[in-house]
Amino acid sequence: MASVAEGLNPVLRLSGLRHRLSDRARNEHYTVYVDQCLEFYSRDFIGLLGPSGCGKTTLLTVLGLLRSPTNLDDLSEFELFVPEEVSRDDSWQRIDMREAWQKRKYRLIEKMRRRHIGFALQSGELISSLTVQENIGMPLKLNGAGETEVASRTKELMSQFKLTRLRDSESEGNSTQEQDSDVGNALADSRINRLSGGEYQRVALARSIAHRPSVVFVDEPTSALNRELAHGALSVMRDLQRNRERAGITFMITHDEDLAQEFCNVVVRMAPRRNEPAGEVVEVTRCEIDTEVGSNE
Amino acid sequence: MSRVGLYMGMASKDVFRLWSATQLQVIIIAGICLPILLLLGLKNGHVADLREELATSPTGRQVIFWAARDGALLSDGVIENIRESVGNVDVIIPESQKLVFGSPVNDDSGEELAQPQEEVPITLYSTLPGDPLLMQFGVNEISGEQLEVVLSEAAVKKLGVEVGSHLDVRLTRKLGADREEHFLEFKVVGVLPSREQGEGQTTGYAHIETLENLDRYTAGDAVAAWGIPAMSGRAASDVYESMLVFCFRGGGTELSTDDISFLESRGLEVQRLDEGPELDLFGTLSKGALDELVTYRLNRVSWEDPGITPIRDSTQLIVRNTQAEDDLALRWVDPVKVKINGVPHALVGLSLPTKRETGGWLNTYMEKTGRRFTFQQSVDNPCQILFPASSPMNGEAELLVETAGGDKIPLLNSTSAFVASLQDETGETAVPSTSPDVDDSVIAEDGGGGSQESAASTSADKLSQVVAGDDLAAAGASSEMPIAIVPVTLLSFLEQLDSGVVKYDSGSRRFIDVPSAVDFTKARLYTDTIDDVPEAVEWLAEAKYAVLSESSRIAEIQEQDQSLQILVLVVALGVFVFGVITVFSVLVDSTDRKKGTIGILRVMGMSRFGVFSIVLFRAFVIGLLAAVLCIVFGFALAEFLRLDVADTAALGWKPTISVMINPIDALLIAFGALLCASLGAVVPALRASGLDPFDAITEGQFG
Ligand SMILES: Nc1ncnc2c1ncn2[C@@H]1O[C@H](COP(=O)(O)OP(=O)(O)OP(=O)(O)O)[C@@H](O)[C@H]1O
Ligand SMILES: [Mg+2]
Repeated sequence: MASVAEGLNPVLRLSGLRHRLSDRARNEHYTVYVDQCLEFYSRDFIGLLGPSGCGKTTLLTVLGLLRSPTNLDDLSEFELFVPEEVSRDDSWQRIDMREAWQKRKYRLIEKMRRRHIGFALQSGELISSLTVQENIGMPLKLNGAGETEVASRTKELMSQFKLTRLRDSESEGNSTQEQDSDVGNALADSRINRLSGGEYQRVALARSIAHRPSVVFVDEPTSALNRELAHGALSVMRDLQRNRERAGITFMITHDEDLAQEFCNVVVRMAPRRNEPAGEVVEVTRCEIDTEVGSNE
Repeated sequence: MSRVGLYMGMASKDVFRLWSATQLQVIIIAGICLPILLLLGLKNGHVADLREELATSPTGRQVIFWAARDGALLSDGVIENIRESVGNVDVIIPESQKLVFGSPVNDDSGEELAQPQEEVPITLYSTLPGDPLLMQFGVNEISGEQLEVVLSEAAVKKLGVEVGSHLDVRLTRKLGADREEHFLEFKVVGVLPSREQGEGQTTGYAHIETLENLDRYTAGDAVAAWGIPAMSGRAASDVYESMLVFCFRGGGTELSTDDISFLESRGLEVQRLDEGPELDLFGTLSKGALDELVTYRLNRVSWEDPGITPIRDSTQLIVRNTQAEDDLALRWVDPVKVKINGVPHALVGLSLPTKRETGGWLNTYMEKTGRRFTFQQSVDNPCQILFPASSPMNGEAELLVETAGGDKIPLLNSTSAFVASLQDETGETAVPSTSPDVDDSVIAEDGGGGSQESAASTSADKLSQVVAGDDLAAAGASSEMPIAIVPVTLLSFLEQLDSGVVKYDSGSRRFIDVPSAVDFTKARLYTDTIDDVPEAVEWLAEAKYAVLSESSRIAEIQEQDQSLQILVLVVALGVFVFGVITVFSVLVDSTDRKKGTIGILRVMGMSRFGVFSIVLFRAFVIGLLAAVLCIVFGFALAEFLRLDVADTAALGWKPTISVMINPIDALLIAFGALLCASLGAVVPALRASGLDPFDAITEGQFG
């Protein structure tokens, strides 16, 4: 546990981490290195940039506890700080992920993923047999939330991500009134295969933060959105992550330099190594969080 | 719990919301199970057709068995034991048959019978109420007490009787030269239609009790139920445990040691008597007899030693085979205490040879006392008695012996010289030497009793004393107990009466053997259903009965049932295996398609167990739907195949096939469908749950 007096609560800290991808059949491998110490604090919005194929997604799967670092023995640090469940105050609990992986505490790892991590991956991967609101509510349900809690939270998220569609029969006069209500929102009960690309990605984003995770990973979320929509969705996302008690951090993989400059207070750059099939974190730049934007919401 | 609910909800949402993908799987599984169900139904239908004939006729569940091969005779106890051991027995009817002669009872209005009826020989068979053979013709009750009979159609025709009318039945029996004839009136309570086989036979069925009584009747026994006494030729035989041997004193005339060992080797224990009332035959021998005679008592010992060839009761044999000269053997039974007309008496059994017979010399000792008398050995007329003059019973007209068992046996008071001489001595009224109803079995020897020296009073006193001093006293007889002389045969019978071997037949005034309970050798057994027959046959054969039944046909049907069952099972197993493989591949495929979903669920932190449950439960729902579909279709098809639509022109081609789907089979199939689906899903479920979450997503994108 570590409480940071200045308000900079570390959420994720790692150094000397390595993940080696290997394809035994083709005798190929690719290694991702994080040699320096990376530390991210509550409310950070991190952009992960780098050329295609340099290992961004790979790093993300490791940080997102989907895969184990492959150098558990000489790994120096891999820790997550998550809000303590029982206490209502500002205390954080440190979870040593290196130990968790080493001791194969899969139940803990699964629980961490379920409680404290959110994903919006490259293709979103929504569950096709479920409706929009069921998809968004899924992380909550997995955490054992009650029906009413799930319903109110999904409704809230849908309106925040502007995921609304009028029913055909509704007159326009009533629309404003009913936009907030579930009854009026045809999209809520719509199935995934009926969504547009933009809607799909917004649902994926909404789902990734539905359970108020400490760390959210977003892999190229805006590829299907036009710039305007992308901005809107991202800012909703960022604000929801930042402006809450014990705010979390957001990891965003993007190729869009402008987007990164605009939204991220931390930019992590990766680059492939020249002589070996490997990629590494080469640069980390951090600037002050634009509090004005943050406090607006 | 809520988590399991969540998984089940997700699984069923997957099945029903993505119905277009699942319906094919449901149809495939149902399609695999349906042929098995129909096959089972066809098999059941076929077997039911085979059984129908046997199941409807009573002979199907009939087992005839008889004690030919060392099976125990069918006494009541044995039959009860069979009933309990075999199980599922409806009724067991011992088989017995008797030929009787029937003629219709002549009513008062004799005109009805145009021509005089001839006697019709009728073979009566045994039956019992509830006999399936009779029940199939509506005869449920038949009474033995009421003398009811069910006749064959032929018998009814020949006799000109009908149900409800009566029948005279003539019975005959023969014993030695004796012939007897009796008539019984039977009531006709049913008619059996003749079948092709045995047509024209005049047969009938009567209650087993009636047949038992007929058996007793023919054996010459009394039939109490019909008021018929035993035949006069019937008499039980007398048996003796002991003999008395009298020899003259002297070297050559007493029993030699050889004699004794000879007798012992024949199962007789020899005891030389030195004292006791037997020495002078309860005072009937003169005093000199004690000096001149030696008395031995022979007691039968065990015959269980196989080396012994026993001499049974032949006094002649003993006398002839001993070296002792002029010896005399008497059958002997120790005196019996009875009440005669309520007065306790000791009965002494004395059957002595006459003067002319072997051992007749004994009479010379009696001549001296004036008590010469003898009863001839007779089983025909054992109930004679002689009293000393002092007896209170002397001269009574009718005497009844009450035995320990409560029988009352009337005795002939054989007034004889014995009594007469005693009375002469005391100067009382002389009694005729022979009474009219005493035949020559009691021979009063004229010995000039009046000239005898012994006083009657002293003799009588001596008898009383002797009796009193003997075992009888120990048996509770008073010292004053009077004695009476009877043929030793009577004592033998009284003993046998005590042990229940014989009984007194008042009709013929004889002791006759107690008719042993009628044991049957053959019986008809009906099981509850034809399926119980083989088991019953097996049991009976094991108990060494010869058995006749339809069990081979039943067994054949059961065998067919079984072999068809096996066939169906083999086919079913094959189909099932391929079913599992098909379901497996279908589910593997559909699970592979769901890799993405599984991946994202795992990414969101769902446990492996969660993923496993979802996949398995989804397969279970599919199996359930398939089972329902299969059963609905199965029953519909069975109904259709069974339907006789020959009249309908459009469906005239359709044959009628009996398909019987038994609910248990249907359940089995449903279970199979579920099992098949679940088994087929286990591996994909395991595989899905074992996937690397991220790989699953990436692979799922291209699935
Ligand atoms: N199993 C594997 N074995 C060996 N190399 C692999 C394996 N899987 C992926 N790679 C390689 O590792 C590298 C990093 O892949 P990754 O998906 O992390 O790239 P990325 O930075 O996310 O690229 P993009 O921006 O295009 O998504 C790629 O060059 C890829 O070819
Ligand atoms: Mg990538």
